[in-house]
Amino acid sequence: MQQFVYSFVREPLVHFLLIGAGLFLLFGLRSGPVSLSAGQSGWQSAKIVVAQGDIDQMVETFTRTWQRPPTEEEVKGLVEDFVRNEIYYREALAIGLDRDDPALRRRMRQKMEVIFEDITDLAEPTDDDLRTFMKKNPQKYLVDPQVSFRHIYVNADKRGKNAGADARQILAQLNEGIDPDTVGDPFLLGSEVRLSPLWDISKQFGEPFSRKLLELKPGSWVGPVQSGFGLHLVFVRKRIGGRQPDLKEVREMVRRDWTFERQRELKEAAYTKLRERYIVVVEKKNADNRTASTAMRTGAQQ
Amino acid sequence: MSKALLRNAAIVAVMISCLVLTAFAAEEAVSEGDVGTASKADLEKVHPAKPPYSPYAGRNFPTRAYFGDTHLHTAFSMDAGAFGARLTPRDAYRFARGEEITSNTGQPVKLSRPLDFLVVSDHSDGFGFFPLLMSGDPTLLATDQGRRWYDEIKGGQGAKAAMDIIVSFSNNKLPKGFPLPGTKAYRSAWEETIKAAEAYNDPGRFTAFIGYEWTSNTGGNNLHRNIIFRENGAKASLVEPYTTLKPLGSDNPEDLWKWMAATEEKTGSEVLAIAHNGNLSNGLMFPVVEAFGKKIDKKYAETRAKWERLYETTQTKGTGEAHPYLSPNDEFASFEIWDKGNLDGSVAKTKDMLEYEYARSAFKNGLLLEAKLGVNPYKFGLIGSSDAHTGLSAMEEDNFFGKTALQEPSPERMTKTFVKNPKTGITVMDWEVAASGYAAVWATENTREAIFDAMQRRETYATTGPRMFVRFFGGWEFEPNDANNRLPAAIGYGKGVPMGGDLSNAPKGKSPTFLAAALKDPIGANLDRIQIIKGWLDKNGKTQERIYDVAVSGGRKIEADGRCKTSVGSTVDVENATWTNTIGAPELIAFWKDPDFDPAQLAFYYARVIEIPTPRWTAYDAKRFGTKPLPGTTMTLQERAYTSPIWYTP
Repeated sequence: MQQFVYSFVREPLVHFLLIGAGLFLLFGLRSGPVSLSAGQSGWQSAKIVVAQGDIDQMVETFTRTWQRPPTEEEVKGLVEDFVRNEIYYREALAIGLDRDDPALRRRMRQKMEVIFEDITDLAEPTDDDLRTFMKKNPQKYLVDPQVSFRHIYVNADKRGKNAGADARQILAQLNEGIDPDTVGDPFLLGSEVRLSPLWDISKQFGEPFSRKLLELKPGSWVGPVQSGFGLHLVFVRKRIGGRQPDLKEVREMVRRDWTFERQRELKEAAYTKLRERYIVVVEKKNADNRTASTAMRTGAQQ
Repeated sequence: MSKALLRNAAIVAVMISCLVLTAFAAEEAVSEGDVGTASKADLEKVHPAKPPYSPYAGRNFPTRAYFGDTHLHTAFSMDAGAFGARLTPRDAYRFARGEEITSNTGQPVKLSRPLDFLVVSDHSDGFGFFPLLMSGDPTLLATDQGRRWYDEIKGGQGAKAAMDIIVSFSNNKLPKGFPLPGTKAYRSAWEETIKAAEAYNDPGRFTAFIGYEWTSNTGGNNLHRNIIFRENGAKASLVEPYTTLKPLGSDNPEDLWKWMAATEEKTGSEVLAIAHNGNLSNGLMFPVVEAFGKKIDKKYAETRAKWERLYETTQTKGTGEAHPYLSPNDEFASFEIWDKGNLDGSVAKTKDMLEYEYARSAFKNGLLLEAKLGVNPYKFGLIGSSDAHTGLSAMEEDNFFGKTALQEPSPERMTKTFVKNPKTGITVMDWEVAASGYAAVWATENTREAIFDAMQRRETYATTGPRMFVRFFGGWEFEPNDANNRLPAAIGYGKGVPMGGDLSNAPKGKSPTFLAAALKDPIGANLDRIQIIKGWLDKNGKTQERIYDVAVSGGRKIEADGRCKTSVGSTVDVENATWTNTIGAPELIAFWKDPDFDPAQLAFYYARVIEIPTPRWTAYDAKRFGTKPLPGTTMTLQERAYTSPIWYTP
C-alpha cells in the first residue's frame, strides 16, 4: 500500500495537478478582501531587499562549490533565485504551510534552544555565584587527603600459604630496624609513593587500600594491609587531611560546572516561562468514545 | 637525560632508600609536582646537578602509566547519531572523568574509576550532519535520502538509517546538503568539539585532547585514522578537519599526511595519526607493493613512519594483533577476531588479504620493506581504544555500554544482528562486538604535552579493557638478577630502552636482553603469563615469528623450547558470571635473553601479557537479564595487553 502511495506521489501528472491545486488555492485566497500576504504594510507595498551582504554570501557559497567565482550572469541568477525563495517563503507563511511541517517545527524549536544557550554562554559568573554553587555541592570540590608512604610488597603467588605468616615476620624485622630493601618482594610500581592525593593512589592501588591509608598511624611500620595485588607492610610518612578548597584553587572547574548547570536551568526556566503563557487543552477519548477536554496550565496555576 | 646519569640516580636511589625515616624534607618539595603546579624550572631548582638526596630526584623517566581512549564518537558523528546517540562531546568528557551521567537510552552509568585521558574523535565527514538532519535542514530533507533517513529515524528505525548512511558514505553517494568544511554547520560542530575539550582539560588530573577521525572508507574498505592535536583550541581552531569527500578532501592517506604537514605549519601544533581496523580493510591497511595505484617507495615509507607512530590494535570491532591463519602456532591468536569481510560487509574476506591487515604481520613486512627501501613504514607502537559511538568509553566486561546506542544494556542486545549485507550474506551479530579496549601511556605527567610526546616515542601499550601495568625494556646488559631489583623501572631505563625504542650496534658476542614486568589491574584479574614475541628477517630474506613464554604463574614449567604448555586453568562460573583470583599471579617479572640472535638480521620484540580467564560481557548479560545466548556465543575470555615493540636494526 505504502509502496503504491509513493509511486503515486512521484507521478509527474500528480505533481502537475497538485501544483495546479496549490495555485488555485493561493489566488483564490488572494482575491479575498483581506490581504493575507506577509509584511505589516500589506500586499501592495511588500518589499524585498537583497542586501549586499546577502549577495556576498551567495557568491562565496558558489565559489566554494564550483571552485571559481560566478559570472555576472550567474550572480543575476543567484539574486533572482534568492528573491524567488523569499517570495515563496513569505507566501507559504501567509497561508500557514509551516504549521504542519514537522521538519520546520523541529528546526524552530532547535533555534530557540540555541538562543537560550547562547545567552548563558555570554554570562560570566561572579565569584559570589561560584561560591554559592560550591556550597550547594560541597562533595564535588573536596580536596582529597594526601598521603606519602613507603611499602613492602609480599607476593602471595610466590609465597603461597605462607604469605600471611611471612608478612607478619617481615613486620617484626622492620620494627627491629632491618634494612627495608632486604625484605619482601619486588613491585613494579616501586616502593615509594610520594605525597599524592587519595584519588591518585586509588588509581594505582585500588580504593580500599588507599582508604585504609587514612587509618594507619604515621611514623611506624604497620600491616599487613590488603590490596588488589596482595599484602603490603606500610610506613605512612605524612598525611594531610582533606578540606574544602578556596574558590581560587578550583575556579575553572567550578566555573565549568556552573555554566553547565546554568545552561540547563536557564533553558528549563525559559521554557517554563513560555509555558505559563499558554492554556493547553489535551483531548482524551472517554469510555463512551466521546472526546473530552482537559485544560492544563503549569507554573502560574495555584 | 643520559643513561649514565640515570644509572647513577638509580644507585643513589637504592642507597637513599635505606634512610627512609629521614627523607621527609626533600619529599615535600617534590610533592608539589604531583598536583601539577610546579613548573619544570621550579623542579630543577629542587633537583640540583650533584647526586641528589631524594630518591625521586633525577627520575625524569615516566613513572606512571596513564589510561585513556583515543577513539570515541558522540552524537556529532553522523552514524552515531543515527544509531541513537544523543550524548555530546561534553557528556563524553564528563563520563571519562568519572562522573555519573545518563546514557543515550536513559540508564545511569558510571566508570569503575576515572580514565586519565580522552580524545573525542568524531567523523570529520559530515561533522554536525546529524544535528543538521534532525533539525530538519531543508536542503537535506529535499533529497530522497535525507528525507528517508529523517523519516526512518523518527519512525524508530535508526539502525536501518545508520547502516544506510554508512553504506552511502562508503560508496560516495551522500545527499546534497551534507555539511562540508567551510559551511556554518560544519564550523560550529568543530568549534563545539574544541570548546568541550578546552572546558574539560584539567592538567595533572585529566587530559582532554582535541581530535577527530578521518574516515577513508572507499568501497567499504576501512582505512580510518584518528587525528590528535598536541596543543590547545586556539591553535586547533585555525584549521578545519580534513575530510575524505572530493574535492575538499581525499580518501588517500598520502593526502591526509600532506594536510597534517600543512596543519603543523599553519597552527604550530604537532598532530599525529592513529590508524585502526586493518581487519576491515580487506588487505589495504598495510600494503607492501602498492597503495592507491602507486608503488610503495622510500618516500611513502618515510612519510608514513613520520605521521603514524601508533596503531590501534584492539577495539570494539575486533582485535588485530595476530590472526590464527597467519600464526597457526599461536594458541592465543584467536581473540575477538572479525574476519568476515570489510566494514560494511560488501566484499567477503579472502585468506590472502589477512597478511596486510594485522599488526604482527605488518611488523614483519616492515622489516622486509626496511631491507628493500632502507626505511620501515610500519614501525608503529600499539594502543587500544573503544571506537564506541555512544559518547561512553565504557569498556569493562561487567560495565559494557556497547559500541552503539542500540547496544546499550538491554535483554535483547546479545541476540540481535549488527551488520547484515544482503548481497554477500555477511552477518555480524551484536554478541561479536568486543568490550575493548584502552590505550596505556607511560608519561611523566598527565598533560596533553606529556602524553602526546609519549605517544610519539611509542612508549605505549594496548589493553583489551583491564588496567594492568606493563613494563618492557631491551638492552645488552640486563642480567637475571635485575628481575629482583626493587625499582624495575630505574634499572630498566638505566640499562636499556623502553617499549617503542630501538636497539642497534650489537656489541660483539652479545645478544639482546630484556626485562618484562606486569602487575595486574588493582581491581581486576590475576595474570597467566608474559610472552615475548619475536619477528625477524632470516638470511633468505623471509620473515619469521616465534613466541616465548618468559614468565608464568603458579610455578608452571617453561620448557626448553621456551613455551609453557600447561594451561593456567579457569575459575569462571559462566552461569553466575563470577571468577576468583585463586589462580594466576598478581605480578610477573622476567629477564629474557634472545637464544637465537643473529646480529646481521633485522628483528623486533614485543611483550604480550595474558590474564586468567574471566567472564565476557555476554556472560554478565546472560546472568543479569536472564537472556539465553545464541549457540556459539563466546562467554569467557582472557584479557590481555600488547606492548609496542623494541626494534633491532644491525
